[in-house]
Amino acid sequence: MEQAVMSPDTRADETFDGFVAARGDALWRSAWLLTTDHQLAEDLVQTALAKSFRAYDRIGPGGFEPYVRRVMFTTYISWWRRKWRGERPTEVLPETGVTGPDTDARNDLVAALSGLPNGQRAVVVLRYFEDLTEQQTADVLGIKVGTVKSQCSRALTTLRSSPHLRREEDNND
Amino acid sequence: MTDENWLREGLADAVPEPPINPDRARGAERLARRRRRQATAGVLATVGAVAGVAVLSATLAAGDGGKAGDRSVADAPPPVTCPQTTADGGVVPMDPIDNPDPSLPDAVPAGASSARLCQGAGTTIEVPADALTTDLDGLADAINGLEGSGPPEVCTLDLGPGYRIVFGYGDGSTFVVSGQLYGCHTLVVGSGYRVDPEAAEQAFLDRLVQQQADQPDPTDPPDGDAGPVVCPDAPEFDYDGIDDVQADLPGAVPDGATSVRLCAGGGNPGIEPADALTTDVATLVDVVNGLPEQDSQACTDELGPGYRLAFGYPDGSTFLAVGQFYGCQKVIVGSAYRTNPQLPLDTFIDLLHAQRATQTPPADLPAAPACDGYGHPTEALADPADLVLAQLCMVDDKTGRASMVAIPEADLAALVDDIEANAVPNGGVLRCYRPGPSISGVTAWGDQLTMSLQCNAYVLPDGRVWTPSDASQAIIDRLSEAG
Repeated sequence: MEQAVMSPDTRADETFDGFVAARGDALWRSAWLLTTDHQLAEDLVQTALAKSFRAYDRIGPGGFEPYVRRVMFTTYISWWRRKWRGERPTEVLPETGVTGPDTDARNDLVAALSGLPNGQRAVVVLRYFEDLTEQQTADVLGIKVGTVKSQCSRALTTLRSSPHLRREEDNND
Repeated sequence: MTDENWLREGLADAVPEPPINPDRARGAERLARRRRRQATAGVLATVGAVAGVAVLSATLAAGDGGKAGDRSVADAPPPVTCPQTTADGGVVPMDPIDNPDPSLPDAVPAGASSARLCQGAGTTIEVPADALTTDLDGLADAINGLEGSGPPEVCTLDLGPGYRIVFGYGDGSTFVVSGQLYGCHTLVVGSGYRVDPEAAEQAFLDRLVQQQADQPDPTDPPDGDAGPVVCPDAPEFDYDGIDDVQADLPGAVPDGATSVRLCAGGGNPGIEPADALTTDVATLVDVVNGLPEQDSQACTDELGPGYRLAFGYPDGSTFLAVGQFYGCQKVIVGSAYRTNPQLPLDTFIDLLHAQRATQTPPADLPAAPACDGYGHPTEALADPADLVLAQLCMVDDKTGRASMVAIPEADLAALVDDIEANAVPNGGVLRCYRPGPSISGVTAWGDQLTMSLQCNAYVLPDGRVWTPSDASQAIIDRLSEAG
């Protein structure tokens, strides 16, 4: 049988199911910031968990979350690479969906975030949503700390100049 | 407030509440098993066709009365056949054979002469063409070894695939094991229930793969041509340099390749079409060998996907060219680094499209697509105009419950017509959240694709953007409400 068998000494929260129950929503939140779509976020989490499933017994509960996170972020980067998703830049944007006033601020930040290249967006989510250090972020993405710093700096510069967020600042003035 | 603190708070506020999904772990486990089966799909697809020929040959011979002296064909009972099923909206309904029958034993009887994996109650599955005729008692033992259970108590509302394993016996009798990979996850064996329908299905598939691997390949031409090359196992990650130059190999693709297959590389998912390129292979070899060698290692730490081109030779040997859209953006050709991984990929896709233009798609319809995510390995090849099966994939925005509904043939034809008429090249994408279904489909060539809804338009794999016409939107709305 392929399913992990829980020995009497194994606590429920130390099983794969227990990990997903405990950390699945947190993974989904990060996935949503990467994809800004409920279904895509769930797909991304499920794919990362599926890719990691067989590694659970080998890695154990202690190191499993960083492993899943690494799989999820690298999967995201490979899914959403522009040339593979077939997306093209354009000057004419399609009509936006209808949103209520309470979601404006959220949409502004999300729209600004969406304008970042995938690598920068992944760094921003890891650094400022998951609160990882630069070293931890580098470990997740498999890149150098210097790259994290430069990607982060570029991302912040882009966000500062984003028309979505500048408009909000202007309004606040 | 600093930028960084503002960003932290903003991101925390921006994230909506996750949907309630108690089935997430089970769903991931099922997906993991599907991924494992897909990893063996190359073997199944290749030797499955071979075994299918063998079974067909035996059937034809038997149907023709059998040749004199061909006792093995004349005396062997014919392989068991699958029960007829009819899908309604992409879902096969329950049948009495999917429930326990008190008049039957609670275990698979020994002595079966064949077994088949067949469509069961649930969404449709890809059914192997050939019957299992070896290690049948081993399969029975594997199923009978699963722990018995009572009627299911914990069920979910999801919908997924179901199967039946039909055992055939020498006296013409059959015994059906019914598994449902969703909802209550029941495995009905005769008069009782057992746990783990996934394990029972895997036990069948493992033996079928072994049976196919053990059979000689009757399609081997006399000159020893090994047939189209098969893909090597894809690495889970290749960012750590699993694929790299090998000093003992030539720095160019050797001449004489007779087939080439596009395979997943590092940075999954890659493009992995079902069919190999067997025409004009030399052109692709020339393109790869014409790439300039990469002298400098001007690399970035950017991540991205990769691919492998597996060139096959008549003696059965293979040669890999590895394209990497990350790091140094290089192509590894034996002992040499070369530049521009995009050119071989584009060339392969163009050549495969040209080859397909001279062929007819496979007679068997490809498996129905599943709402199992994006980045299908073949979607860069898929042309929406070739869609033969599709479904709407929906998630309830409040409950998070996923559902899907098959798009009827006439509706699909109307949507495809609208796509061809109104999809706009370089239409641009604005990522914004708006509840709505995505469309998952498969072409006659087996290329799967997903069209995701962004704001009010669908993004097509080839970069076009399609805003449904009023008539198309009405179809989508009607099907969505039905789902």
